[in-house]
Amino acid sequence: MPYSVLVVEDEPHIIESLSFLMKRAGHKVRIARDGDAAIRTMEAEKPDLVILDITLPRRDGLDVCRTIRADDRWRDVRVIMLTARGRELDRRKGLETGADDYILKPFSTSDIVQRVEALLESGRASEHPGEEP
Amino acid sequence: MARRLFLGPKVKQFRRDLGLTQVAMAKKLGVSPSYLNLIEHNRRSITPDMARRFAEACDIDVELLSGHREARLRDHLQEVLGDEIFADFRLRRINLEELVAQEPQFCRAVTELYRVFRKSRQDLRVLSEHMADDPTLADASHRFLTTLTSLRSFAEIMRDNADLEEGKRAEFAGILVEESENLTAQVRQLFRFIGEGGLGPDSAGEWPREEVAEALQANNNYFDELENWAEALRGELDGSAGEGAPLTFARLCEMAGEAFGITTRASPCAPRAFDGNPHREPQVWDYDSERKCLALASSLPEESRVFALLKAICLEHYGAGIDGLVGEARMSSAPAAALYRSALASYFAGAAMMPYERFRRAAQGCLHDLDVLRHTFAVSFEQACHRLATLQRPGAEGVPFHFVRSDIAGNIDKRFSASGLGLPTYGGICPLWNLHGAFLQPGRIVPQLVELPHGGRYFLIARTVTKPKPSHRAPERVFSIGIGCDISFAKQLVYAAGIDLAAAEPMPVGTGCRQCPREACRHRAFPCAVSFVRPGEGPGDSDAQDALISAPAG
Repeated sequence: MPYSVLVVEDEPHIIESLSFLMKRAGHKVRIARDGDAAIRTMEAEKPDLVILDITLPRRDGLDVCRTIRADDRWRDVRVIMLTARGRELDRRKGLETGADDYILKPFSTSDIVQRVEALLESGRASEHPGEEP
Repeated sequence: MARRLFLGPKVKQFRRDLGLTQVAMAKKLGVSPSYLNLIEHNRRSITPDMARRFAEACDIDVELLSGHREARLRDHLQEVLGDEIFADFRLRRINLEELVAQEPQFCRAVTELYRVFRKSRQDLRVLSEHMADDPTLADASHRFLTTLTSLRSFAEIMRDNADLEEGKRAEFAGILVEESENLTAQVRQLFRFIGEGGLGPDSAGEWPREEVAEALQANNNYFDELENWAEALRGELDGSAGEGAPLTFARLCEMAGEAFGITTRASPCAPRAFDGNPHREPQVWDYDSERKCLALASSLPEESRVFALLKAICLEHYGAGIDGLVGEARMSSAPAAALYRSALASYFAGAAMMPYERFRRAAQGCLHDLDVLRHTFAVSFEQACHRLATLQRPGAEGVPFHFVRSDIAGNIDKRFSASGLGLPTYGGICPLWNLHGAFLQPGRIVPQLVELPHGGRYFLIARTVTKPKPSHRAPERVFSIGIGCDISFAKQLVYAAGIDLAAAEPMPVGTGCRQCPREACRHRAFPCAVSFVRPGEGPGDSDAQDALISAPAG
């Protein structure tokens, strides 16, 4: 069963590369180009995982992540923050808002795919204890 | 205790320039050749009387044998070698007096090299701060990383997916080309920004101020041309009012308009419109040289308005002469030249408000009572103190004062010394000086008797001054003004009246922590990296062997 991945990013080429990678990995991909659109899209259909840029129009990724974590409906949605902000302070801030992982741009394509798979599988394992992944 | 002068190599050079043997020179001086030999080898100091006789014999300015230049160079060199960069050098005990006497040009070269090094170090720090905080750079960094993300992603996708359909491969290759072009444009834009000085450290500020202070010091803070121009102007102004009457703004306005075409206008709050930004301080006066109009805030007191107008007159009427003086000083940058120009115009203004001989006699007559001088000449406390530090006319010198101005954070923005006390070029002044303590007694004159590590004693006075505020929201500007002189002149000061200077216990101070050898001082703010031999302490002067310098105090 394919997972549903929501890519929240405003840079067209990065959207395209992430879409390609996630589709190649066998997942269903939806796109949101700003923070408000991300919440609307999640309201319409809950994703399994969100790849979330921080620097977004309208509402930034940190705020989106806090909104996700504050809502019980999305308690089990995995969030990977994707950003150019490389300082340790920014990383801690991102993880404190409730993100499950923090990946720096420019990222390795194989690395991001591996980390997405690992989070999706860990989520599925906790949802279905006892079942083999 | 008066400083001993060791000018042996200089004396020897002057003698040689005259082509005289030691025997012949000794005869001219009325001393034995062996005594002259001891002087030339710095085994004996040169007394003021001997210096005068030598100067007469060689037909040179006795000022060249005053030791003032050597003392300033020695103090400057000591300050330089006190920098923490030399902490690990473990310098042997150095006789700076001898070094300066033997190799003055080398010592000057070292101080100049240090000045350039310090400026470079400061520029790097500023550049680093700019790079950390500059919004243009932060934005550029983000755009670089975003573009690189696209480049990397598509390059890896094309590498790792051999089965990519041709259409997709072509599309992705197109994206690589496009993003490469974007990156090229971004890099060019960044280098254009840097090349246009977007990140350039601010060359105004600390370095031009230091350079100007050095230039004023090199002239002993006395400028004959400026004094002559000021006296000429004052003579015309006094023509009708009579000598002795203080200069008034009204009288000066009339003359400025008739003779120089300069007009003035008062502004209720400030010449430059206050835009409501509480963080921007309006200027209190502004001269438009194109329109020849001086705008003055109504809050300015009379003496400041007179001063500002005199500066404008100087720059208008004596501009070419001022430019000549600036040219002679060979400032290293445009900001330094502009600051020096302003300083010279300020000197002129002070000289016109307080004509040299009139002021010198008045100062002597009232024992340098600054309140009397202020009222006599209708000037401010700071203006009077500043003028006292300029009384170095050859043959008609006043008490040799030093002058220093500090803000409440301890930043020194004006300094000059004719007192023999070496003021630090870099860094702050010793925290024990009354210059700082005066902030605790605002508006009161605080006297102080101090002793420097080398034994020199000085009498200091300091007082805070508050600059007029152009508006309620403008922050207050408070400075401490300090002047002082060698203890030998203190009896000529009303502030030393009633003090038994011989019996009084002086406060042991330094000039600045970095070059102060008082390692046990509880007020020390910085370690002293090296220590130096004072006259009478060198090898042969004591039983102590040469020793390596101990580690600086932590």
